Amino acid sequence: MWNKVLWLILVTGIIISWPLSLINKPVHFDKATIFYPVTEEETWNFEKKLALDTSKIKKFYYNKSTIVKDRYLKNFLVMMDLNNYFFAMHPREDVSGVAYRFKYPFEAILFLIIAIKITCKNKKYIKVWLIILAEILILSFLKQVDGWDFILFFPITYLLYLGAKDLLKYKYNWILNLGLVLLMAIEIGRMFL
Amino acid sequence: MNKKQWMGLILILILGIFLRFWNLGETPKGFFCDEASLGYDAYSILFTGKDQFGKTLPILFRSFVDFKPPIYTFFLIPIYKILGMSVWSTRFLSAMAGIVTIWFGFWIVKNLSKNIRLALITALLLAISPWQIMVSRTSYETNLALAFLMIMIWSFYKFKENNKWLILTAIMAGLSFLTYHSERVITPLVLLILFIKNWKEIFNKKNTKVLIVSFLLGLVLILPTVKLMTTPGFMSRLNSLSIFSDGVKKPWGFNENLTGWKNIVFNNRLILQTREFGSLYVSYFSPRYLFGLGDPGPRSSYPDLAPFLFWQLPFLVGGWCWLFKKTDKKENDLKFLVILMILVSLIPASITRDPFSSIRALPLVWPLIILISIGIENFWKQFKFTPIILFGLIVWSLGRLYLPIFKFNDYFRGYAWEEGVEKITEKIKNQTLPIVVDNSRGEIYSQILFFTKADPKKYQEENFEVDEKNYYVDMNRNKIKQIDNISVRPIVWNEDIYKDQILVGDALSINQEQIDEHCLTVLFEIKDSEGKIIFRGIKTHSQDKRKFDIENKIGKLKNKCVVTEP
Repeated sequence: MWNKVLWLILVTGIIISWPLSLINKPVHFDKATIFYPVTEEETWNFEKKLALDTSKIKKFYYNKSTIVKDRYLKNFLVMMDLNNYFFAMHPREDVSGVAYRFKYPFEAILFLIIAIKITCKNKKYIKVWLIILAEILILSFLKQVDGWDFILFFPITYLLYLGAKDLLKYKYNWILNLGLVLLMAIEIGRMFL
Repeated sequence: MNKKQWMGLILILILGIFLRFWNLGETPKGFFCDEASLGYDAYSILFTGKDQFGKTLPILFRSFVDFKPPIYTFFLIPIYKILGMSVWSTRFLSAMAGIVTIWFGFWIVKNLSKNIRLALITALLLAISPWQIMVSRTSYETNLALAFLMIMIWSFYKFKENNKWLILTAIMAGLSFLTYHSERVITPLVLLILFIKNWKEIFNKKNTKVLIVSFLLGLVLILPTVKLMTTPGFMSRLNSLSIFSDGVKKPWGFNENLTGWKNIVFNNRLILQTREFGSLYVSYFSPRYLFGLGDPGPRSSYPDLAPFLFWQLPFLVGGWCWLFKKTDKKENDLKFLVILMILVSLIPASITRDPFSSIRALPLVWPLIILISIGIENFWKQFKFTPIILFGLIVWSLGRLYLPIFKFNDYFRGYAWEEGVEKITEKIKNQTLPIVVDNSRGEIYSQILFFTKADPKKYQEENFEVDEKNYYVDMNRNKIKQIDNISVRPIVWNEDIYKDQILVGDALSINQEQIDEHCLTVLFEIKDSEGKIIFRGIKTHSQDKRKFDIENKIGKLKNKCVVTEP
């Protein structure tokens, strides 16, 4: 019974982390998209690259679409970044270019690994990954994804739940659960320091 | 293998050779002090049997603030004997190691999977890998260490055919261990786990003799280094970089304002270090780093080019899925090796603070490329038109590689490769006056030694730093170097301008104001690709300077000193 209680605390902790972070550090929903005017810095970098090569190759790789494409890819990769969800973008929060926040306690990554294992083996879960991919593809059009990316909370939390559920079937899992609950409490508490 | 497959492999090797050797002496532009230092050590040993500090055949090479593993330097000696000392010949070894990695990468995958097409795709992706090309085009020991590691793995699996291959395994393990810091962790772990997994086949009576010989050979190779493990020289690198060492930097998340129970709970070192280790470890799997950010270091990445090409992302996802799925038993060996390499390769990189170190985590490139190749192979099985797509993607990739590697890197990162020092040595080589080269920022003396091909014997005699006994223990440095008539030291303005000599320094050390004020004439200016001055060479005029000082003292104030001397 205690094991179940520990597990429930653990799952609750995972579920409340991201919403708590939104309450603790309120989000400013920016409606702008990546199609905002080109900045001076972007123009400078882009033109410098163009000036370096006189061959036709450059036009194929560096053309009018490059700046917008780079912005899109940057957003896409930020949302594909595991460290964005479990380590508040550390170790490269300095170049994130987007607001970053605490989303899940870092130890929850264990559940994601288990979930990947489960979902790779069973085709019915492919929908969850497709939902995540579709959301990321759409969100990448936004200039600032912080806040909007909360729609990813649902499928990702579901995957973590799947992983956590799988853990229940192992013997002595309560030891691990206890350790994870303690760690999680510290990680969530850190948010309010 | 049939003729077509051999042809494919040869074409891949030619492509790999082209991408690694083309313009190798000129690109990257410049020659970093670490490269110059290990080059000159090899040159010094070739002619005197001693390194630049006068130590006979060192086990670890004393460098600027740490000690370098010895193998790259020792392997350079025969190359210098044949090709002479140059930027090209120094980088040649690393570029060659890149080709060896492709070759053995192919054979390992082929032998373990029995799938030649998969092995060819792996070799092809290794040949065009931006990460692998980057380390191959510079004198990085990590690439040579990886090549030895690959030969070790290949020969290990060959022992099933002939147990004598274990001898080669031991030699390669020893060489890999001695070639780069990361492999001191990776190689023993990989070997140990491979031995444990295959212990039934290895530890039997018929292998006893070979096992003893292999063990002794390996031991003989690494023992001298192991003996130095507790010296400051050996530990210097670890102490300065490890997330577990105190003093360098507090762990990520450490809050200095906390006291009492909060300090105990939230600043718990074990939790913070585990968290930091986890974040660094996970970053090596994150698409954002693999396909976007890469290594932040200007010498360990290319501008606008990630370690992997973006089109490889979906195939990598496919490869990951293969890793987690239950597959055919005959794929188990390859799967095991990929998992082992992925898990072990990242340990040394993750205990150091730098985010995504492409140098320390280099052995990761190979298992990740295998995963991408498996993704492509599985796609190929389902879609017959895959070869056309793959061909198109490879052609696209070659164009994508061209600009960052051969253009942007030289233009935007020349400063990081310390471009311009070779030109300095050309400008000052026939000067008879004493020369002072400012070393306030950097270790320019190593490049001057390299490019002037200074007489090693004379240099050793004139530049004492440490006696042989304390070579690995005494970390004190002699910052002033004398290379013939060149003194490498910080410029002392209130003394140096009263001696007739040539001063050389970067744009920060010597500016226009100083030239006007101190009666200096510009001998040469070296500019970067953007036309900015990176180095200046100036001549002092001591008599004019003294005259100028006297005139100023007696009240004849002048803004600019007039030079009258020739």
